[in-house]
Amino acid sequence: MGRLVVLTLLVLVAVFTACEDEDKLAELEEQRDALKAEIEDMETELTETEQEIALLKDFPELQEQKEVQE
Amino acid sequence: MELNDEIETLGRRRDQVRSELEVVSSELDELKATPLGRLCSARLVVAAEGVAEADDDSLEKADGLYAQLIADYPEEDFNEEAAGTHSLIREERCRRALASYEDYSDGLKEAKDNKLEQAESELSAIASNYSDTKSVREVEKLLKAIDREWDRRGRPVSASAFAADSEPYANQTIRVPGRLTYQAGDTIMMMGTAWRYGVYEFTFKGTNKYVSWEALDKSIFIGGRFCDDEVQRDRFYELAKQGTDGEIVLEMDSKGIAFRTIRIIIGNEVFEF
Repeated sequence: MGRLVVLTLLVLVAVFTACEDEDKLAELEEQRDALKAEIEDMETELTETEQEIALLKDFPELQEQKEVQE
Repeated sequence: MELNDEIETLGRRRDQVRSELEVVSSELDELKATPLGRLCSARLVVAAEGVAEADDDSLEKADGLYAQLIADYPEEDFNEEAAGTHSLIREERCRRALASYEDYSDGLKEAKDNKLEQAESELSAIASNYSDTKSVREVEKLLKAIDREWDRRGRPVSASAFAADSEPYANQTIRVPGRLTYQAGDTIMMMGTAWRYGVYEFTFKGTNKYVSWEALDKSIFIGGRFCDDEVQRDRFYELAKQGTDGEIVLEMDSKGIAFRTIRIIIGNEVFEF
């Protein structure tokens, strides 16, 4: 009887630990996915900003202005 | 463990990209800080030669950018170019706003009241938003056509609004919902003939205001002839005797009190006075 109780307790602890591990895993995966999305958004904004700068620098008026400033 | 490592790596990558973005954004802000920089930035959104092909969102954005540029730098050399481009953008936006109403004037008579009201409201907003353009004249023409159509059919007015105050409706033709009834009175002897005196009454819906006409037998005699058409007269009498819902169309006088002309519409039937 005593052994049965101990065995049952061990099984319960194992199940509880497994559930906690699963929750923790889901949390980490969510964190990873959020970081990936954030990086993707920023990289898109970076590319668009660089493109806008390149297009602006092509305008003769701005080139002249830069030369005058230099 | 692997997942933790991945998260750490991603975290470092995020910080790196964020730093790069800050540097590049700062460079862009510097470029755009000058009047010329703002002009070039507006040109990137929409330039004069690209107005016709630009999408609606770009036109809206460019409209704002050029307007602000002109307002902030009225004395700059480029002001004429900016004003020219801005004017083109405004005309194009007005033209596009009007585009869905191009053939509307042909279908005014068939348009239902609520559609006519909606069109009038939308066109009034367009006229107001683009009052600085030449294209707005087309909008104003359409609004006048709608106004003439309201004069023809009568502008619907809720009975309660009309009952509250007739004065705002001076010189307008309006339609008010209500109920037509006939109340028979005593018999009158005139020229050896017995005539049944009666009163036609049109009560405005939900109010105690009404218009009434005295009648001998079925005809509205006192105060003016109703109509020569006996069939129409009999029909009007029958509808009134049983009490019928309908609308009354009133051409108001200059004070919004007396009626120059009256029509009563019951279903598809129109009775004119």
